[in-house]
Amino acid sequence: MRALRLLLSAGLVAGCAGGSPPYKSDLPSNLNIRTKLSSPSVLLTSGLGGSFEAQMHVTSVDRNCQKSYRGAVRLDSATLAVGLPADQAAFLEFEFSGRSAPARGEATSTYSTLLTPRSGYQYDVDVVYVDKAYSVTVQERNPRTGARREVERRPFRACAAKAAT
Amino acid sequence: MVLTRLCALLSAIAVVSGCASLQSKTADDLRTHVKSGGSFTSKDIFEVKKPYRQVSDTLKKKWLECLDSTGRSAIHRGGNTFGSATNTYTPKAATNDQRTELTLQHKVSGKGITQVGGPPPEGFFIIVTDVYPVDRGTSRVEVQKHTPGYDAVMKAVRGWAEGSSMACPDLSQ
Repeated sequence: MRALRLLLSAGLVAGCAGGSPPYKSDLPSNLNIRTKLSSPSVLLTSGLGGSFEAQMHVTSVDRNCQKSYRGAVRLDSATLAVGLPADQAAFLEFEFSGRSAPARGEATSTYSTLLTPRSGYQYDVDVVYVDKAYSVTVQERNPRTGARREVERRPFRACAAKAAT
Repeated sequence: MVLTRLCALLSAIAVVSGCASLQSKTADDLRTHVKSGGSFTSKDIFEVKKPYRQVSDTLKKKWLECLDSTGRSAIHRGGNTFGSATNTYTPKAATNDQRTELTLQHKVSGKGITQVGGPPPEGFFIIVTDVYPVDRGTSRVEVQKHTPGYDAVMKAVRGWAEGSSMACPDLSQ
């Protein structure tokens, strides 16, 4: 069924994740991302010329909730760390993209959240994609005490609502 | 799943009749279609040994968190012409002491794409989940859908309700 879909649907889409500029930051790392990916289809594996990948798009958000795109970080099955400005909101979009090269099919899905890292804290992000389902969990960690807490997802409209009031 | 996208995309570019006419414009529409055993309808009804408020809160949270999604898919316009469609999913929740209603609407948009059948502004209703209190410690969950595919959503709702998995279904797959 999926093969049929991918054969019927075709055409690479402009603005694909692979075309995004990389996120660059000289700030000390405070976002530690662990990723575990499992391709949802054999057609999206490199053996058949396809691909399945995840990226995190970073957009800074100012006090007026105006966005400014900063770039993307490719997430592979490893741990990586990046630096986000402390005490400044960032809109993080986790994008899962599958491409089937022979059929030129593509499908993407995104999960997004606002995060305002606190100065002196570390943020551990677990990104898991298994069995056509994904989870993104963010934990705030105090390096001095080791205390942890899960950070709830905040949709972008939470920022807009705050700015409107 | 192929049928889901195929139906949506073909109806979106208005080359197929008889697909859009079956789609639900309201949550009640969807329930009626499911009750009458309409095409591309299915339901999953189950009880969980948890208080209504707990199940309601969990499902509402995950529904709004996981299904508020936008994805792209490729479409074949014929010949050597290709384009892309944007799939926008809008989850909503309404809760009272007697019922929690969770709805999911699906809108397809893109250059040259028009969804036939007069969809609501946020798209046709494709899945409705209702949660009811049964007794102090038991809740009933009714997941109904009026669209091909999206079995992963039904599976996810059961996982959220039972507490066995909090993962989000990938609506693009």
